[in-house]
Amino acid sequence: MQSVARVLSIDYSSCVTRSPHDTSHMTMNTPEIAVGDPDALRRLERFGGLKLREELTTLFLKEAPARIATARIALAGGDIEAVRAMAHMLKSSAGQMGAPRVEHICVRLESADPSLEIAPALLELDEELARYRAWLENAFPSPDVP
Amino acid sequence: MKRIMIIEDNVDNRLLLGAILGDAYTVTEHANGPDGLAALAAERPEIVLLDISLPGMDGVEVLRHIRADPMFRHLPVIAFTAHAMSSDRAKYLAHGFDDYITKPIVDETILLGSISKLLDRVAA
Repeated sequence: MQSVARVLSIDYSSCVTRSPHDTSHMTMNTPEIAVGDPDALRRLERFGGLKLREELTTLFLKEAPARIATARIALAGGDIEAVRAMAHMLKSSAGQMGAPRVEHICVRLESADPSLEIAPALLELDEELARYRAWLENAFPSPDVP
Repeated sequence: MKRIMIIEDNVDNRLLLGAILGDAYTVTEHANGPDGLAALAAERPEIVLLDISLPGMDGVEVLRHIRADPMFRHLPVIAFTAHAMSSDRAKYLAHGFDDYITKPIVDETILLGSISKLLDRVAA
C-alpha cells in the first residue's frame, strides 16, 4: 500500500476543469478514490446503449494490459517518453471507462514527477486494473447484446 | 449530412465519437495524421476532429499541413485532447485550432455545440 500512497500523492491545482470522475484533486490524504465510476458507464450507455458500453469496456480491458506491458518494455530500455505516452493514452481511456484509480496513476506517470518510481507505479496499474475489472463484472455484468 | 473527419489513434475514442456523431453526421475515421491528410481531398470533410497526441506526426503538425493547403486553409479543425491543463486551451487555439475539446467526453453537448457553431460559421 505504500506505493499506492506514493502514486496518489500529487497536487493538481493547475487543472482547468474537472469532470465528475476527475480524481486529480485527491491526494494520499483523501484516499477514497473509487475503483469504478458508475456514472461514466451510464454515460457510455447514453452515448450508444449497452452495446457501446460493452464494446468499449471489453476493448479497454483487452488493451490496457498490453499498454502497460509496452510501458515496461520502454522503461527497461530507458525510454521514459514512451512510458509517458502510454500513460497519456491510458489516462484518456480510463477516464472515459470510469476507472478513476487507473486514471489517477496515469496522470502521475504522465506528469514525469521526479519523485515517482515508475516500475512500482506500473505494478499499481496492474492491480488497479484488476480491481476495476472485478468491480465492472459485479456492478455492470455483461448484457446479452445482439 | 455534413461530413466530419476524425483523426484519432485511440480506437475506443473513435468508437465513442462514431456513436455520438454518427446519427447526425457522416463520420470518417483515420488512426494517424498522414492517413487523414491523404484522405482530405477525397472525403472533403466540413470539419475535422483532430487528436493532439498522435504517434509520429502529432496533431499540431497535422494542422500545419492542413493550413498550408489552400483548399483546406479555412477548414474548421477542433483539437481533441486529454491535455487539460490551464494553459492548453490557449496554446492550441494559438496554434490555429478553431476550438478545443477535452477527453474524456463527459457532456456530449459541448462537442455537438462546438461542431454546430463552427459549421454555422462556415455557412455564414
